[in-house]
Amino acid sequence: MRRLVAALVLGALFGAPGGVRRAAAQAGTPPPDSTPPPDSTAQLLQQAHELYERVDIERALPLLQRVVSPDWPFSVTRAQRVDAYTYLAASLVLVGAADSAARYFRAALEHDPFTDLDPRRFTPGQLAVFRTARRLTFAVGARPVTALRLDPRTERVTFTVVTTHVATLRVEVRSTDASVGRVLFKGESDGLREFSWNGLVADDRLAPPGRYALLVAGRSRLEERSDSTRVYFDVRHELPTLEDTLRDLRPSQLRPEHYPPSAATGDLLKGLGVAAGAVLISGALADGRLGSSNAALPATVAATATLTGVIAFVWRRHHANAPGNVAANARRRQERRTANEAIQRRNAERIAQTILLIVPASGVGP
Amino acid sequence: MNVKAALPLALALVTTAAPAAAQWTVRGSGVVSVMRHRVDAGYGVEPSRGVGVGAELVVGKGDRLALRLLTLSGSLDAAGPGAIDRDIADVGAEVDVVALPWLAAQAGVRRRTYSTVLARQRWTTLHVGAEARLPFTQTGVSGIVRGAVLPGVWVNGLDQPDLAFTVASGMEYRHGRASVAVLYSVERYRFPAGAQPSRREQIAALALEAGWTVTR
Repeated sequence: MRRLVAALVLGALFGAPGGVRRAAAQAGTPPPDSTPPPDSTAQLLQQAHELYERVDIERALPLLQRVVSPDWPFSVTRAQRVDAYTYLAASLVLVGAADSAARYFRAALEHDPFTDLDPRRFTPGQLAVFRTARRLTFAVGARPVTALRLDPRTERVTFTVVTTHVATLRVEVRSTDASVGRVLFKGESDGLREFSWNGLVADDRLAPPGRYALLVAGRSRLEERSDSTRVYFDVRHELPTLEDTLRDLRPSQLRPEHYPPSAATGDLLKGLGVAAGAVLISGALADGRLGSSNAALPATVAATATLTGVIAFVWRRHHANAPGNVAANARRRQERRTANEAIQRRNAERIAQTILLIVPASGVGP
Repeated sequence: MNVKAALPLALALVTTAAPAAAQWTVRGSGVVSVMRHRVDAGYGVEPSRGVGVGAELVVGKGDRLALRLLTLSGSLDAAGPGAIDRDIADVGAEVDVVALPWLAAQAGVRRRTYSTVLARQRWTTLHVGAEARLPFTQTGVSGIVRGAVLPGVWVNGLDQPDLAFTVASGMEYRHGRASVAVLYSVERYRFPAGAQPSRREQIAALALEAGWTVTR
């Protein structure tokens, strides 16, 4: 039995199925599994799990070693690799190879700092070795952000962060375009921890749409080691349609505030035109066969119109400003300003109802 | 232009002009009119002159549509041999539709009565025309030129005239709600000879109007 354990430990340390088989053969025992290898990592892991649960460690160990071996031809996900390391380490603890087990536990923690052992499924000895591995390993981790719809007035985003052992930790949410972020935590932390984010950035404004990163940086309190990780996510805004503000008045939409010199002449001509109209009416348009009409009536209008034209001409020549138009333009500008202020007020009320859409992202840029 | 042609035009102008939810304005004016009346019914020109006093109420909706109601009454004193004194009473209604900022189309009806010691003559006229306003640069000052044809003229005892029109020219001054206008106008009629001799009639007037506008 001692020879079998030695062979298994050697195989585990060297990580090669061939090595395991050779060591087992040299120990005078048959190969643990002579059946053709499974054609996928999942199947092999499933088989190893079943053997482990039946405490058939001798047959489980080679299977797990094959998964973590560089020779394994099939793709291995990170979760599968961590699973293989964990069960490999747990199996080694059961065969008495605690130091080797600690190395595999450390490998699992380095791949995934969230790795943990369920006390209901693993023995106190395995848990003890795992704790040792955590003390010897320093890594920080952050769970990927899940897509969610968030009302920042009442809800929070929760980020889950872990350190393998006690460490000084800094957790920050920062736009990938910004140099300063919002610090969610700065202090000592050990193990799993959750942090909530209210959707605000450093200046207490709502996070504008864009790509963000959750930055986690830790420094071990047990050894001189640091680690960091980051998780990217996109922030989008969902809000009611905003109203466009009214455009500034164009010069063509405003009345002239200064009259051109021709305006004075125009006034004079209008007055003379009205006067001429009165004269024409009393002359050419009146019925001549009814005798000459009284000239005083049209003369009154003609004189009034002419006088008005002359006065307007002289006045306008000396007063080119148009105070009525200036006032009218100012009134229109004020109306436009008031309307825009109302629009901006309504838009602000709508913006206050902004919903944040949090979507996982893969990197700094799209 | 006859009545059948003028009425549809007036109706079309009215029905296409009113903007929705526009501001109402009401202007009341007092009118003093110095009149010169001359008529030749085939027995020589009978001149008369006098003064009439009246009122005008203009109800406008927005900048484009206005209804004008007017009344005037006065006395015309004989001013020559053969003429007799007569009283004149005039009521009318008119719709103004602003087609351009400076031009309004007008259509209306008038009922006028001349009363003498001998008889009473009633005139009913329809008119269709236009009024041009020439705004001066000084706010509130406008020149006014207007003209209309009278496609329908009904006078008891007379046929339809073969010539009937009215023209006017004047000035209007507005300051705030107040307004003053002075207008010289001529109405001219020519009735063809038929059973009766040819008749020519004309009334010229210098009207001074003072008004006050209320907006709501």
